[in-house]
Amino acid sequence: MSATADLSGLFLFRDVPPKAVANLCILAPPTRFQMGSTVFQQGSEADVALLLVKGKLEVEVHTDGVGRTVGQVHPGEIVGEQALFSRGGARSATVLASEESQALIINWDLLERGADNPAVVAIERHLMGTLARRVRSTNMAIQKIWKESDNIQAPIEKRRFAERLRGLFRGGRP
Amino acid sequence: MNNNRISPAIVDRLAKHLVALHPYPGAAHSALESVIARGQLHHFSKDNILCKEGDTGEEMWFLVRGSIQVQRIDPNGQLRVLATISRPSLIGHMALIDRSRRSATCVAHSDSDVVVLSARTVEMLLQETTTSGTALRRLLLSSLCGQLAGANAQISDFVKSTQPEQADEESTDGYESIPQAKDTDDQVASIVAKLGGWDSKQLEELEALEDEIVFVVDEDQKRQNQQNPFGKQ
Repeated sequence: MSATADLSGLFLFRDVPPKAVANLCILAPPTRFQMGSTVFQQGSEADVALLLVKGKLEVEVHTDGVGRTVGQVHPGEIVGEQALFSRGGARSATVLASEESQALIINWDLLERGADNPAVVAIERHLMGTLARRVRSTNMAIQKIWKESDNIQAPIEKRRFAERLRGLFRGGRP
Repeated sequence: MNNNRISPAIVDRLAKHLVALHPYPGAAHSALESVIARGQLHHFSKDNILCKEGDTGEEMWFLVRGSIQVQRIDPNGQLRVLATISRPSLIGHMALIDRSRRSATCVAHSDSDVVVLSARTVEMLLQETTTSGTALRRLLLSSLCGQLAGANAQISDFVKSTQPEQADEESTDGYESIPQAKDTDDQVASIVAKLGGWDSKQLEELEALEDEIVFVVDEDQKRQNQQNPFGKQ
């Protein structure tokens, strides 16, 4: 299957004319990642985001030399998008290709050159949705923590609570 | 609440403030001016309500003058002030982006002027390939990134407040946005000691939150991709 067909199959491009998707492929041909290769390295400079077109990625967080898988990325999902608007930051997780994968690299050059392309508009709107969900879920976590820190009267279940908190603050499940 | 057309001076000043606040690459003053010019200027007297928690999102606002208080009623029925916003802020855009209900009530904390953009206008702009559409999308993206960074900082502050000796946390960027504890077990123990503990229901809620925070998966999109791999009806 061609790269254009792969991209056209993603839900975010469902309303985008095929010609616009084809132009997007010309502007930014999807990059291939071999199974096991590193897409983003924790601690490295964060300057691009990535839209997974095919395959599967795994996200690992390393703490004190110990790596833990905290999530997966599936086709149509974006990872690392904050890098586009928060210059100078570093990746705080490693992203690996757990299968042979293809991804669209999203950087400012693409956004500028493709500003009049409906496929790029679709990417920007997809970015917005992704960020909005993260803001909401993070705000919910904050409110939960603050509320409970003010008013704890429930029976103590320290072990389970500790597991949950450990997962939350490490960015994943224990 | 009074409605007025926006004077060119206000449009110009607001666009300049927004560009200064969100200096993303290619941020264009003139394009933002054309976005703002599609709105209307409204005045809210002190204590007037812009939107209520649970409302559907019918509009968003650019704060031009005054201040807006963001409030929520907590599960115990107590009014909690989440933030007091000053100009030149964007307000109410989240509900237009993800079509969710208002998550908080916004009240004029002082006499305030806002530029109102209707949901219809925003939706039209977000679909456009014009410079105005691009400017609004990137302004919202930049604002969302700022909000996320602020939320992450609050979590980080909370963690640090429980373990002051662990001052140097790693930086975060979105997906990987949860602060990384250097000695998480000690940190958790400290927080547990401080909080006392949660009941089973609360723990389940927190677990659900972890799923959202960590995996950042758009289940709807994934499901639709699986059901409809070619993306067409």
